[in-house]
Amino acid sequence: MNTSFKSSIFHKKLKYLFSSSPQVSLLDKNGNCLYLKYEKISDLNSLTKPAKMCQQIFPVSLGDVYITNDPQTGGSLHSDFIFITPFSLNKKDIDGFICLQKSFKPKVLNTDTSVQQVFKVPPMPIAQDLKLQTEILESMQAHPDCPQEFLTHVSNQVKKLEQYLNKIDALFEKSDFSDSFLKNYQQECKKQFVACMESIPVGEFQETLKLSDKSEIKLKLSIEEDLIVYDFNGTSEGQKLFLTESMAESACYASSLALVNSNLPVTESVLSVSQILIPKNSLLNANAQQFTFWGCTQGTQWISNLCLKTTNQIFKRHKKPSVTAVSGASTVIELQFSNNKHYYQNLSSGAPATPDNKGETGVNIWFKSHLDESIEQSEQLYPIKIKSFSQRPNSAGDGANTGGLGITQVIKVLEDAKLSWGFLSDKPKGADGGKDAQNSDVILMLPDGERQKLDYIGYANCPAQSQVVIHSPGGGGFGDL
Amino acid sequence: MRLYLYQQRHFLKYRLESDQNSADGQILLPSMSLKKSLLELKKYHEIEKPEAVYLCTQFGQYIIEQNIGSKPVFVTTQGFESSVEVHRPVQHDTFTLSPKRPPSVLNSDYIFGVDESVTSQGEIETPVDENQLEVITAKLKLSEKQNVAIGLLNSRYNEKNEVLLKDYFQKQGYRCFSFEHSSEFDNENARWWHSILNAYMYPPFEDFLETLKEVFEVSDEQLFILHEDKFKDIKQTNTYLDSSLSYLHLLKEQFQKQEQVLFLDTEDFFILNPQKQQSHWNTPVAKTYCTHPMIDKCNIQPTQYILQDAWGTLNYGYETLNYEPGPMLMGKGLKLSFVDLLFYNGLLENSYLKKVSQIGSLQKIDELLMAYAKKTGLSPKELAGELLNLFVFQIKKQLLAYNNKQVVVSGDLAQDLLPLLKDSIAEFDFKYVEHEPLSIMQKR
Repeated sequence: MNTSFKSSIFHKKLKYLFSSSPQVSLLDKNGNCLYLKYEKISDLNSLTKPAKMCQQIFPVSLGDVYITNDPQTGGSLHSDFIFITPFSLNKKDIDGFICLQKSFKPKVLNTDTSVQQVFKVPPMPIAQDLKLQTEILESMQAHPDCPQEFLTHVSNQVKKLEQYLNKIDALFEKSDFSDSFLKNYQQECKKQFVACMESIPVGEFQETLKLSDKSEIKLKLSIEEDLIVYDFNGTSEGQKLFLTESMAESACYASSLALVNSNLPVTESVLSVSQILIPKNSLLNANAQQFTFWGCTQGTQWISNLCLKTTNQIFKRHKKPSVTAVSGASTVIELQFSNNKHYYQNLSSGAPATPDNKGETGVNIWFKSHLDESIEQSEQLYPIKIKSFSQRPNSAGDGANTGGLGITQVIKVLEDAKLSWGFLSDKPKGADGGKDAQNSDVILMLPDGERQKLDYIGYANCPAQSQVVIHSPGGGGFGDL
Repeated sequence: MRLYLYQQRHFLKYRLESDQNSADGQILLPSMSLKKSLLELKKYHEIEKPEAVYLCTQFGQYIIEQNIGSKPVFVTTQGFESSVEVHRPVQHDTFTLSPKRPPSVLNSDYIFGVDESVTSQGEIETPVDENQLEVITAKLKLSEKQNVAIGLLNSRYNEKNEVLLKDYFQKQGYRCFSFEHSSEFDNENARWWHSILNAYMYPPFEDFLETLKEVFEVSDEQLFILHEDKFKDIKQTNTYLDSSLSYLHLLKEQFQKQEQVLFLDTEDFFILNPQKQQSHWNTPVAKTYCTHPMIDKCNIQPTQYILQDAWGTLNYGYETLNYEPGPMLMGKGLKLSFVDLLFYNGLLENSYLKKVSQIGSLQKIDELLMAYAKKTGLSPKELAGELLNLFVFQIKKQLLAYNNKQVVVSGDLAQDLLPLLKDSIAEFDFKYVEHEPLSIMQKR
């Protein structure tokens, strides 16, 4: 059996093994990614990097379970917890790691919130021989920002990891994870990924993105036959928006994956096709004191869009149609009520139009969720009345192919609340003659009739009977009408 | 004489029972029109006006899968007209520039918002003003739409506005569909899809029932349909979504003492857990409510499409084929699927599929496998064997979720697959039990 077929079968087995988990990865004993299933951009690193960090910090043993949510160690939002455990096929040597992500409802922290208040868990062991260290977890649960029923969720995740360990033990042979096979598998994945890049023209282009807080992101994109280099040298320090290096890398990986658009697995070798250069002390390399919530939710989508927009320019130089118009990013709001209840909404943008397709309404290409959203359940849980949830007319960019429409949601607040919000200020651009889409808008309508159009990131008091109108952006249009 | 019909999406099993004798049979539905199939069945068995026809059917599922329903009108709370569509999930699990939702069963020109409001405590804030409904009716009169699905926000806490709307449109001569189950179902989208899909499948379903009545010359009172887990004569039945998964209730009845049943049939592979219920049904269009015994679908289905993958080799794809034109073994199809592998390996000896296989198809399958075998460095037999091993892998993976090592295997393909499972998965004790839906129907 040749390597291609062996690799194809191995990938399929991993796909079947993890079919019931939305965010999961399998790594080899050196922490190299063999399989990764994601929902959002930052998952691409948060499901791989923390395991490597654990290997560096701890003398990892079989039966250990580690946890982290720290953006500085490869994590993403503080609400996303990564659970890591090693596995072995001879009950002796570590053959690799399983990483599971449990995403709790995010909590928006205002930009002037002290970072000390954040519930941040650096990589740490929480179980030995798969038995939970409840004292540590109980002390975590005592933190005011710890997610509700944390201990129960942790226990469930550890049970899931245990089930996966049993399945791997029953379904795989030691030889499936031999150094020689995994080396071939990685090479084969990269080979096939590079083969899929054949239609992408080589070239270089530089683009600068000016943020409304006066900081700027510089990207020099070079596409070679088997390499895509994202060079952010020249990017300024941040003012309001900060991404960790890991988040910025993930955004570039996401762009490469969407550009190549294959069903190949996300492996270490596939990710290595994207080479990313991020300068120290830039807004794309936040330190532990800087606030990365908006960087993770908005910034990553912005960087991925910037990467694709720059790619379009390389296509243009080769007189080829652009690959896509620009996608909008999510529009995020949170209403914080008394008794620690907080309503969080991440409203999807419209998808961009491409040379072959119109954009879908209310579909963010960089984010998907396996959870069912219910207006009735939200109204039961929070003192709000949702007045409407509908597509946003005329929000998409026109063109031969129109972009997808954004969404409009109107929320009436029934008790005093603190409103936090964040969105990107620029319009999703059209491509090749297609028109730009409408950008996000958040409007606060106070009970006295005053109407406040809100800036792109901030927070405000929201008295009872106010209405919050959220418009998510449409997708850019493609081609002349 | 009584006639029992167990209709899957593409196959029909039947039993004729009279005081003197009984006869069983099976037919492939796509090979000819449904009416023609039934007429031939009638002629072959000389059926004359049976005293009753009992039906368990997956026709509702077939309508949704094949997109052959009639797009209904949808009336909802103003401000939420596009909510049902926007909440449908996209199909891709990788980053893509063109994510797509599955094709819709609604036409946006026929979704209407009504100014009404019910709070989450069940208080009516804004009652329905019938004047605004006249505008909708005027628009509907210009169309040929007959079916109206109704879904209002918070109607689970107070259904008054929804009932009023339903009464109004019924008085105007429209057939109305709303969610009439208990209020424990707490996701409005799943509830609204229940009404929409019921309205969508109603016209072809009614045609189908009319055909049955006409062919067998029976009245409404003589035609019984399995609705969830109860037979109802069709006079008592005016919606069909809940009958779509009634075959699972029959399965539960046959295997009620088992913890898990590996069901390997011509159209579905899944593990049934007769001890548990699930309320959701993930249809190809949207998620809705349809209470049924719990099943865990297998990653590889009987007609799972096998095609060239991103590696340039042959492997299981994401889609499944249907039986028209069908797998390669049936002679017309050009796409390879899992049952073709079974046919190629001589593993369909006891299945009805063997009877409908065509001479010459074996060679075509061999030629296709040969073309890919060269690329994989294997012989066609070895290539088919590796793909079968992958099937065994995912079955074993699913079974490992259960503690009980005794596994009952049933379904039309189970007998043929049993040796393969026994040889490859030594950890479990497999026992074959014949699937007897007609006997269960008859017992009722």
